[in-house]
Amino acid sequence: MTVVGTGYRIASQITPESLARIKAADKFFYLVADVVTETWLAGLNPSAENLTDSYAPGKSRTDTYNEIVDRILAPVRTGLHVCVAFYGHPGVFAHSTHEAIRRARKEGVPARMLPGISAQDCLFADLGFDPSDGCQIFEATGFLVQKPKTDPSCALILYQAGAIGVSTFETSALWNRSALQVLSEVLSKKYPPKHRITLYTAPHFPVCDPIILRISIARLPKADVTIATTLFIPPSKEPRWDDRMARRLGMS
Amino acid sequence: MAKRLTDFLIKLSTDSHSLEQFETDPAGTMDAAGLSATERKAVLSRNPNALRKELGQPHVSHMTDEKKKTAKKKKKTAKKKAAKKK
Repeated sequence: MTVVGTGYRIASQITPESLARIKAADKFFYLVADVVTETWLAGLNPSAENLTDSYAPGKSRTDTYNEIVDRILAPVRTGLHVCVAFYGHPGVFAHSTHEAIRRARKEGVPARMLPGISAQDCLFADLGFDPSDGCQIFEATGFLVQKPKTDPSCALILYQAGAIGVSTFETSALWNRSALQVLSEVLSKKYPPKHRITLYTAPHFPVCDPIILRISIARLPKADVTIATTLFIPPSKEPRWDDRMARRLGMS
Repeated sequence: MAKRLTDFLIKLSTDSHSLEQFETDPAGTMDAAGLSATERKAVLSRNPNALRKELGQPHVSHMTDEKKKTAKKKKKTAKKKAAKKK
């Protein structure tokens, strides 16, 4: 079994290795975020099957993920070579792919994940940000509920700010507007309220540019956020420098 | 589904020559692809929501994950089981 990523842009961010696996599979499943990519993928392999119908409004996403894993593993258990394609990177914020691989391996079936281009990779390119000075990445709900220790001298990326606290599947563009107020309040305790943050959406279509909106943290509750928006919070402080450690490493 | 628009977008994505042609002569390229007036308007707007609307998909779908919530639920269940044992 092979799990691959299609990247974010339609048909153009997939690796040749992943494309070859899709075409060679006995059974091919896909789960992507737009109908054009669905059409393109369906044309690559006659056995193609869309996993989108495992989602339904109001249905628990946990149930959906379990159903997807079962659908993927059914042909694997009959000995077929199965390929599964997810949009972006198949291992970034994707429970079903990791779980399917874990279970396949447990059952003695070789399973492998091939990397894809994630929203974060697009963000690094489009915002011109190099994470070499460090980068903290969280899912927005986890960031609020689990309260990880974060460092304002290091960039922070929050995924899925448009779906904070929502465990079902919804069809609207933004799933929880009121949670943005909570997120704004929490961020304001770490950063100055006027600190500029970026709302970033990677482009799917070849004729579209990325959506990049720069706002202050205080304006977040009313901002144009969707479930596809990634928040980028640049550092508000200079990074620390440990002279003693630098000397120990022979850097001075 | 908007087949012509779908095929047009796939072609621009997979063929850099077609994309260059579109950037040079958008009207001519869309004419050749047989796009309708509303489809042309959506493409020229370069607005993803306008394109999704023409494609019959108003919003980006199912773009979330809740593995952390699943893990937490498991933890809670384990705690409950432990409490029952006592």
